Amino acid sequence: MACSGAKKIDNSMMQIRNIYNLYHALALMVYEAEISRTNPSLILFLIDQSRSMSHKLPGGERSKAQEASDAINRQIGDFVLRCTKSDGIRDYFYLGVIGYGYVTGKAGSILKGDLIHPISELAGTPLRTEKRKMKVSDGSGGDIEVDYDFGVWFDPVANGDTPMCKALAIARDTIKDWVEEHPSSYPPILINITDGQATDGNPEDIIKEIQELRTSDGDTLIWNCHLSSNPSTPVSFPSEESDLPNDKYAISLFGVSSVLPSQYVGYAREMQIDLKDNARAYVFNAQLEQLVEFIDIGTRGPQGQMQ
Amino acid sequence: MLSVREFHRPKSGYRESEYEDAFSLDAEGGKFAVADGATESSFSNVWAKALVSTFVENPPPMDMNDRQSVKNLLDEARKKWYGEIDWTSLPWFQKNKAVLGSYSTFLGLQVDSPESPKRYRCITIGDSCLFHLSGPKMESFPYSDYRDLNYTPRLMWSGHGYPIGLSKEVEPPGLEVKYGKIKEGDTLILATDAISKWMLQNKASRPWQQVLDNADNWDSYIGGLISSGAMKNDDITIIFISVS
Repeated sequence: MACSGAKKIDNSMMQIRNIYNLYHALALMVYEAEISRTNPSLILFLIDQSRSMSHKLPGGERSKAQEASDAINRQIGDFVLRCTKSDGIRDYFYLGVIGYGYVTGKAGSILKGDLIHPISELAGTPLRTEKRKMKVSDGSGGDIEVDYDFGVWFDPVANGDTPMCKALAIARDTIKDWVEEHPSSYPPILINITDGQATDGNPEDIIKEIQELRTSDGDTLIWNCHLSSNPSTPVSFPSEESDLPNDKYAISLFGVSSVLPSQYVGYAREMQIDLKDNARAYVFNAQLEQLVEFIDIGTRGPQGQMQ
Repeated sequence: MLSVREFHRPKSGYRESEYEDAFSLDAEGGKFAVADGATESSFSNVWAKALVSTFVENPPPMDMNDRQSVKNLLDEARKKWYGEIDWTSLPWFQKNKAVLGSYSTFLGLQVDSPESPKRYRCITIGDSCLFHLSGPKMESFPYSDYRDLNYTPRLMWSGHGYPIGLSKEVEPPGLEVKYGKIKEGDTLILATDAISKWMLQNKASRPWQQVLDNADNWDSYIGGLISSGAMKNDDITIIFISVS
């Protein structure tokens, strides 16, 4: 009897501890910190530049390397746009782009200069701008096409192997420094775009280390986008392993992708994406449409917190 | 006679040049306006200023149709806004955004007759509020519940910037209008959203009186409310108009 009583107490204590841990985790995971010049946020993009990125991305006209570079350049341009005020650019964000595989075994920043840059610096230092067309609302339900300048900060490369672990280690060190210096900032976001398996080890451990780097507003968010090499149906924001095909690599990256905070679930649903509350920031077999959606949703949270 | 007190400040931690609300007033002529330029758009401070100054300098006749009054204001303010910006010298990233135009809320008040009680008209687009204090009574417009200020407000759009410019007509958005009368001893308050919300949330304790009681240290008083979380960190504008 005494033994059974002790077990009951143990179980109760465990339940209380579990509730406490859950409460603690939820309390930490709010993703509501205001982003300002005095409390900026960090966004890191990781991009696979291995040889296989030269293959065409289903749903697009061009190679995976070109579409992924275009998507990230567009997103940097969007951050610049959002931070542009009448008196210039406000440094709400610091951005970095880490490439891996541009030369076999190499990983590092592919932007000019430092690894991370305040957004105002990026606005002033694109490699070039290209004239493109955009549609703007005419205010009465129609559109008007207008020229605009598309900023290009880096060009596509598809060359070597896939040293993803090396790139993640650089990201980890950068994020570690960031959260130490900005302990109450909106948590850093890491968006990794790849089409293959790491050739320098298993990335899971490093990604777990990165996820444990947190600010008072939540854990670092890890987004993994696996680009497709075939036209089969993509799997966007799965919530269970059973949602995935029997692919060891997919299961591995799914397991270390962040569970989406509720705000991001809302953004995805606004875009008519069907997902569960415990969906993860992972896309398997992404085609162009999923790639663009993925980056858009991944960066929407902090953009909504700009003060 | 109308006597006026006005207070404004940028967000805590921001410079005066970054203040994106705007106000304009002509106490003698009985014309007052406040506007809250949308942070998300560029040159919204220029647009907010164009709206309030156009309204006060060229007020519509009180008996003009409300929607036509706003249409006239919009047409004139757009010209002023467009002329204020040196479009061609903007850097590429500012051009990309400026073409999308600017957005602002707007609230304009006209008090027309010199006799008592005086008639007034208040036109508003968005979430700036009018408060009418008369003895112990307080009436607010367009909102009476602070929770209604949580939603994205209606905004006045300037139309496109360069290179599309003013070639295309812009229709005014939905607007709300209140006609009323004020007598001696009454006070009207015009306020942008953050301080309006705080006043509605705390109306039982007559928070407008606390603002006046702290007039000499207005900036630190509001700064304290913001740092305690009682008021949102936003640009703040409030105008008190008393009838004597």
